[in-house]
Amino acid sequence: MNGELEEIREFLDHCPDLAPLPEASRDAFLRQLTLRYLREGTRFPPDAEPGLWIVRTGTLEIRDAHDTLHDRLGEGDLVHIPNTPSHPLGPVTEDALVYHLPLDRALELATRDSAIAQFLAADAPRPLATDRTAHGGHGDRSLLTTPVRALMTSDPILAVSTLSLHEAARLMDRADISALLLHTPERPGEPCGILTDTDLRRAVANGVDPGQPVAKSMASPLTTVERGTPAFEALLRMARHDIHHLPVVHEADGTLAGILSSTDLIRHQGTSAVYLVRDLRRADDLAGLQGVMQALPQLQVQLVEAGADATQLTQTVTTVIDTLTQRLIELDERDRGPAPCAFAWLASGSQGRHEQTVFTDQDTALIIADHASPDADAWFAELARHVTAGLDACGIRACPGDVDPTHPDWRRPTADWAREMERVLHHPAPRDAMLATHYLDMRVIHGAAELFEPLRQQALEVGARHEALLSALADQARDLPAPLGFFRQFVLEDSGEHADTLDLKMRGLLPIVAMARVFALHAGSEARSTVERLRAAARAGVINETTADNLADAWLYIANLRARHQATQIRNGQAPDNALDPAGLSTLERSHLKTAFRLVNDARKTAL
Amino acid sequence: MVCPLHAAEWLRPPGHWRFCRARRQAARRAPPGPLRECMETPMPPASQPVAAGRFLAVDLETTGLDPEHDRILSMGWVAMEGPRIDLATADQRLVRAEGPVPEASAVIHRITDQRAANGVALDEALDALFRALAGRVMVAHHAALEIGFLEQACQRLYGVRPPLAIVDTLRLAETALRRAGQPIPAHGLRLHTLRARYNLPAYRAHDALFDAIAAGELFAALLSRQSPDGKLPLGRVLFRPAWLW
Repeated sequence: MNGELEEIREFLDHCPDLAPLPEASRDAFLRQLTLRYLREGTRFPPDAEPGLWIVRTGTLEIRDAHDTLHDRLGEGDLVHIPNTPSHPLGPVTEDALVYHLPLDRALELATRDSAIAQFLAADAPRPLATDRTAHGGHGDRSLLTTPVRALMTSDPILAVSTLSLHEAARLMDRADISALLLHTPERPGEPCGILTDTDLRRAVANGVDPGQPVAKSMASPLTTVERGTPAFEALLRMARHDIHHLPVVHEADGTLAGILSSTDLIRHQGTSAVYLVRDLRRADDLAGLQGVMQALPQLQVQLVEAGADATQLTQTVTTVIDTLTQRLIELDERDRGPAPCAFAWLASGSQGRHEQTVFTDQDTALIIADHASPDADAWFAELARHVTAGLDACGIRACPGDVDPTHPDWRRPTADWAREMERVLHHPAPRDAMLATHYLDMRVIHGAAELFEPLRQQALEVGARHEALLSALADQARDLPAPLGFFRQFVLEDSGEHADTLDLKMRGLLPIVAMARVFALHAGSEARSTVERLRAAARAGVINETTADNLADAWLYIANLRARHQATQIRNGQAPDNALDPAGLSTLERSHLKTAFRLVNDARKTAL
Repeated sequence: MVCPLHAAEWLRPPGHWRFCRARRQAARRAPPGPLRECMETPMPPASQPVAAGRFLAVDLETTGLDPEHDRILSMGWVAMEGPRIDLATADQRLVRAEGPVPEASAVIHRITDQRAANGVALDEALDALFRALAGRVMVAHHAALEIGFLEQACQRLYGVRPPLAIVDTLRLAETALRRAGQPIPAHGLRLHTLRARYNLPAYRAHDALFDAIAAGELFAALLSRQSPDGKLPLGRVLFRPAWLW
């Protein structure tokens, strides 16, 4: 007589991945399993054994050779490890008891039982991608193969729908979540609706009484996704329903397993930026850096495809370029010996504001500690030449306006910078407005931040009180070319390489950037990025909330359009730029873009 | 049959030599059948790495704790190849009752008189167990109970007390905890308490087969800590009565 393995059988019956396996075949399947205990911190699978693995307790991760997370497995999850030498491995993240169907036994079972053969064959098409593209496998973190469960947040907060809006908002604030799942008092544990930041905003905008139960403002019924669904499908579902959160349910019984947000998906794609940054840090000569940087355009394409918005995209690209800059400086110090005194490398312009795309140029400066030896400046001039040339070689074009520290104007000792900034910010001549904008956007990329930060603090304090500076900056913002002409037609460039196209940066983004800078300065805010500056200005009452929202939305819309435009160019093998042909836009996009431009025009008239 | 050992092995652990001699004597005295074959099957040397060790996790359910007066109700076992537990070998036997099952234990073991009557005779159950045990080291939690009952049953049925090579997961766990300087709470060495400590699932207790699987899993968990590479010599995990190994 054989012992009854009913407890294990019961467990397998509840594994969603085993559901296709017919009841009648399960005992035979179960009898061929072996049990393994895997200690936390060891590699999975043990001894790299191929076959079918089912997690009974504990958690595992599946990662490829680049340490990219493919899947996170917990109780009841199944993974098929193919018989290839390079199949992915991963750490056991919590002591685990696993069932293993070794490959030889699987084959034997398949020859004996056609139902099992079918089940095993159907499972096989879920292998984990192992071949990767030229650079560091940025292509294989595909949303197509990653299941939702690997990206979702487990144990989401579930609250009762009789809660008031105010209580719900407080709960979300305390838990720092952007969406709250709700259940009816009758059926706890079973989500019936969702309340998101957007719903809250809408409720406030419509003057809904915060004491009202949340049930009236929540979205219901819910669109859900199952744990095993590929992340890509989840993304499509979000896009189709125009939502940003999906409750994740167990396949077997439909009970709540987690929640997936569009941010989770983007963060997943964002890991490729993490790899780019890591590879930059590891490169130890210019050729190495150049090789890594070739992947940057592809990163932008991926982020756009994954639905990243322009804020996330530009912050990511800026981080990569910051790292490149740091590494170039480190390498130069390695080659020529350490700097003769403390210094900081500064970036202004879009890099300073964290708003770079792959189509960008250098706006940089150097600040050097006072009382350096007389020949120190020669050392820093050399550094400036090496770093700017290195950036240029890596695809970040040298600044056409000569804003770079190979010029003595942009390479000064601290005291000299202090005098210069005071001059420009206190008594700006009209032509100094451009300098002032650079000074206000400057950020320390590398080196001794303490050299520069006090200067910026002081400049901001002075600037906020200085009508002359504010008006110079406001003039500058007003003087930027208008995006819309008579009859609300787009103003197209009339000559040159980009004739008959729309310069999204010059006509769309820079006017908003310039306005945000003035408002933020007036508000005494230290923020550098445009959206943050607008929010800070609204909080300080410099502009009203509507203006801030409108401008931020317009910035985001135009920046998104530019990111998509550049991604398309990169995919088509063209060099990315800011020149958009409006004829290529859909009617809806054209109308949105015009709306965005009109908001900019209106704000320029009313707020400046 | 002589234990096939290298000459050096003969000289090194005198315990092993004594163990082999005791097995040979038991084999001579036992009647022909699985017990004798089990005693004749050579055991691996104590120097063998645990990862290559062949084990049989065993659990006995009994009417009480005293081998002299209490009886075996059921036996469960599952084979292990190193740390791998092979469910294909999982097996159990209910032992036919020779008298009424005392009420208290019946409640615990869910074995009613009725079910016990459906079991097999004790010698038949023992035959199955010793067939599975041939060439394997027995793994049990608090092995003294299993040893006591098996020796008593064999003595009664076959006139011989078989020397068994045994891993006691309770002793192993106790040593591991003491070595780690961890206090051992009351009941801290019970099978289900230890299993929870190692993140093993909670099985319904007191089913001989699942207790055997449970002990095997606990052994695998302990091995994963005491010998992550599996190279620890077998002799280091064996439970040794004074005369053995």
